[in-house]
Amino acid sequence: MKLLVNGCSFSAGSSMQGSVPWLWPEVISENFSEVHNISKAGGSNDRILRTTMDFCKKNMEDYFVIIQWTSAFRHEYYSNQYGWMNITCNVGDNNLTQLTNESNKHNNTIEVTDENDNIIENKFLLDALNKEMLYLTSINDYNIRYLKNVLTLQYYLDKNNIKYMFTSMNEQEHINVNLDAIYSKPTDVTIFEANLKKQLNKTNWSKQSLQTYMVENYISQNDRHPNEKGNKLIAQALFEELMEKHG
Amino acid sequence: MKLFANGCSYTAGHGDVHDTNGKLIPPQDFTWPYQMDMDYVVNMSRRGGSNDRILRTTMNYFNKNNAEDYIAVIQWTSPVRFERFFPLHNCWTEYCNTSVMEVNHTLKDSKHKVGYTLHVDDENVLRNFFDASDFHNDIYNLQDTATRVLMHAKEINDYLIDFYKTVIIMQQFLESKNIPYMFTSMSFFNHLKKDETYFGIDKFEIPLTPYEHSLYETLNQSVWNNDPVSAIAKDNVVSETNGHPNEIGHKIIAGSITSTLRERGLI
Repeated sequence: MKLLVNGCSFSAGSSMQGSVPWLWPEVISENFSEVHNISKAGGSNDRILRTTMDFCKKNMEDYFVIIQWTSAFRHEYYSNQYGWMNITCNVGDNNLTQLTNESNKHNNTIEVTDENDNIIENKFLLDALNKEMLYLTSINDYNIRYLKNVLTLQYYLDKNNIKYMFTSMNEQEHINVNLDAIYSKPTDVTIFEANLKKQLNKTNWSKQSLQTYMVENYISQNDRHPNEKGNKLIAQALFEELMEKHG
Repeated sequence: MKLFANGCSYTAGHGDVHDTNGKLIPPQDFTWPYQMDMDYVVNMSRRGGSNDRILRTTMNYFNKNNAEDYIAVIQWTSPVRFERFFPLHNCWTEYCNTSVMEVNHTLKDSKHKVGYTLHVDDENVLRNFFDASDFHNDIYNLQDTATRVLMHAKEINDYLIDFYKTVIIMQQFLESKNIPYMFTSMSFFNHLKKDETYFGIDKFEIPLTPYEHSLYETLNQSVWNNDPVSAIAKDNVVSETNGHPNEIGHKIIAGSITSTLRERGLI
């Protein structure tokens, strides 16, 4: 059986460390006939959904799919001029639950790149995206966007009889652990988000996030991505769960 | 059998969103859901409402109420409308395209500074919203931001992508609840009919990306009716400048939808 992996830098490797042979998709590859790792450092959940569907459409062979969902604060828009734009909203910690509040907005910044990681500096575009982050998008909206991506991919994979496992970069995005951890208090979750969560098939999720599996084995204080040992622990945990669920 | 209907003004009836007191006006009784001779009708449609709202309120209704003996007819609306949660007033805000919004080929050609009007979903919250001292500032910022995003940051493709995701999730939800359903839409722009693409009254003409094709193919085409409600009503509209169906138009829509549901053995 072949394996498809998609995710962010926790699966692609951090841009700071460069190319290394010990990423968890490499470690786990000995158990599969072939591994395709289409993860991208800094990529969004929108990109993960789009590129997974694109890959599966073009490759109809016997694939198992592992999706490592990433931060809800990244997304992508299509542009006739720039192609798929990767948008990272750096939302300040003090402003997580009330983005429409005027206070603390100086902590929020936005970064936009094209598919080749070139920084986009179009003034009108950046102004529009910055305002969208400051005034229009609450943390609930980021979460809803994330849940919609997960549900869309769940439906797509189920419909096409493709076996899969979902996991996440950290606890905040992990359905089985604590998706609501990004909120300051449980009441901040809207009924809509709770209803979307109910539709998720929790049995297809790993037990924990990659950050939990790697424990404290990160590259450095400045680069919290898993080091070689952390990647081995991740590969081991994910493979054990795959064996438990799918044999 | 009970009917659950959800949509925009093409199902709620034309007219203002709020009355002079800022209270939301409920769907009118001449609209097509009430002309279908069903035992019981729930019409959750809202003028100027978005597809986001349609999904949210439908999920909310069927998670709170027993879904047994219901059929759901969902009338999807314009993909450029959207909804956001506004934590400051704990409410959902609806962003509806204004009548002066002119977009063609690419949204960047939009020439109007205010492309959106803003509705607030809950009538009690609306009063809080209007009473707030910074109300005008908030409204301006929100409408202006939505318009700037439309003009400078997003393409029609992005709105369509989000629309397709919303429809896929609705499919998934209704199927998981074993609720029989049919989808229709406001206009040909986002009406799905197998192997055909329409460019209709919305004046949107865009090349689709492969991603939209993949999402499109994931949609269950067989649950859609043949024509959007605006095409079913034909010339039976309110006036030359108001393309919403009049009472006769709503009766014709009711007849068409009833007939399709019977043909499919759903009622």
